[in-house]
Amino acid sequence: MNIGFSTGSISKGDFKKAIEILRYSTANVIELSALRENELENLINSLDDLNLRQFDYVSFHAPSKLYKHSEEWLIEKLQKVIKREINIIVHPDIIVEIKKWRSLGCFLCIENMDKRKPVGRTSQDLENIFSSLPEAKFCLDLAHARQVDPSMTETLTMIKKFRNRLSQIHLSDVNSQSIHEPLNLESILFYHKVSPYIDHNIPIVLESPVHEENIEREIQLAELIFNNEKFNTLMSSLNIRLHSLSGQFYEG
Amino acid sequence: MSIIEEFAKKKSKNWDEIFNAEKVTADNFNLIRKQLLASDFSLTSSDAELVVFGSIARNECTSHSDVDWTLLVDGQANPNHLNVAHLIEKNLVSTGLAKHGTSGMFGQITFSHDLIHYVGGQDDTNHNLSKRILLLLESASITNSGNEQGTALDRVIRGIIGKYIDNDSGYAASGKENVPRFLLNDIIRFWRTMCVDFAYKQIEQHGQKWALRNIKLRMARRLIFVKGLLMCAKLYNTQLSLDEIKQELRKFALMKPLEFMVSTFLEFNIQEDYIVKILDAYNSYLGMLNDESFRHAMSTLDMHQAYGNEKFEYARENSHLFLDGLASIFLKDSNEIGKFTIKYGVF
Repeated sequence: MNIGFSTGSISKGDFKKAIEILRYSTANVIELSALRENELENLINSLDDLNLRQFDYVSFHAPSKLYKHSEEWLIEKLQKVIKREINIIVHPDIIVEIKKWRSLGCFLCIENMDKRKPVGRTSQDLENIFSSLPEAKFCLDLAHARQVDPSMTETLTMIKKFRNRLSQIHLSDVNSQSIHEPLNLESILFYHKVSPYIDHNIPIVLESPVHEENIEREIQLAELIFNNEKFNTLMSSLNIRLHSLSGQFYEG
Repeated sequence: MSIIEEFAKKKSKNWDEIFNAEKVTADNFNLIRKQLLASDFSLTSSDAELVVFGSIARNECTSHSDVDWTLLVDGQANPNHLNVAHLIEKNLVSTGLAKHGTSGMFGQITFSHDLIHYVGGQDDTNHNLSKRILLLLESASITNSGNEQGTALDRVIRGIIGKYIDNDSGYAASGKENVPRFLLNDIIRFWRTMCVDFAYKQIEQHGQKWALRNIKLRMARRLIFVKGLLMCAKLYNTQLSLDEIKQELRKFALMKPLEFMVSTFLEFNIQEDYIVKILDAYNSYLGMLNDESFRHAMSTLDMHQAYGNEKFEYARENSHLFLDGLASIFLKDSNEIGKFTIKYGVF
């Protein structure tokens, strides 16, 4: 499988350190995170020097909020990233003038949002956004989607509606305060429910804040969500039978 | 070395049943953690936490103790909380420390909303009142899966304390001699509720396990009431700010009842003979609970035969020693705890 981490999850604000740590892991996916505005220029200016050879998939996370700079400034900066032909993950609530974002073409990758954000939380929200951004791709954040709809129906709708745009998965848990947390039994049960509907070749970016020693365990937990055999082994070892009639959705 | 150990050393006492119970409790904690966290990852996000009450939370497990637990949810409700609760139940049952389908109060999910918002009023049920006060008097976390926002247990304890202190009209008049009356009244209400429920269960269950419940009410239940009283007594005439009072109460809530009681008595310079008498009696009580033949006899003893039964009478007399020790402190105006109780504990 293609599984790796966001640099921000491994070492907040220090992408070089995160890359170095991940170098010794089995991660073959990496998302370079400039989630905070002040991290952007340094990361973009360092792109040529980063050794990312071990990663089969690389993406870039744009800042989630702008305090000092304008939307135009950000889009201009991101042009340097798309020259490397890597997906740029963008939170829809940062978009003001949507047409301007078309310049990022098929490398613009819109992420669904958690309950705090005013837009991008539901499939309907995203449909409105994608209607103005025909080339844009989709990053499905399973934790955000689960928080917005714990029945996972909204998640399934997003997967089905935007199947052709789906380019990467964000994986972690989020608590009620919308803080990312490591995977746990509760979240694994949720995500396994929709995993059969996700192409297993799609890169998975873990956003779980974990210490170095727990990186491999988190990757294994992510694999387990998408691997029925491993999932069932875990369920038997935990002596658990799911409360719902079926752990997964029926096709229909 | 714990305060009780230090005190035992000072008084040349060996309260071995108390110290043994601490070891058994630690073993039980390890057993549960091993069983539940064998897969090396959390069961839930930090929105939820496995919380235990009763002897395991008081550090007083004996060889026959069981575990009262709840999955405390302080956050968004979701359907998988029930799956996790079922997993917890199955695994606790497999350790032999819990039973399937225990009464409605424990062994299921508890939401923080009711605990914090329904204090008094029609929706504050017996279970809600009991769980809320027990969180302050005898609760402990098994999983401790917190982050920078704290654990669910810690957040809920803070929320409950905030509710009592921020809505205490007495504190609104600054500079006056005062106590956290809202909290104190609820602790007294909880103690009386336990006593009334004892009679209720006697009627409902046709006297089954009456003797064992009676002895526990006299000792362990009374001990946690004492902890509650002392939590308020320690804030009697305090010069602390409201925020500091809340911090203090949180600190008190995290302490084990017996340890908290002894440390408070020593802090108030209570006559040490009284403390020894109380600990002697409590040590004997734990010894009785650790004795299988005693437990069996008390579990099966008909309530009509209890007065006159040698074992029951022995336990009852021991409880009188415990109560005498407490009365020597709480009902005498020669110390600050007594002055507090006489002024606020009854009327």
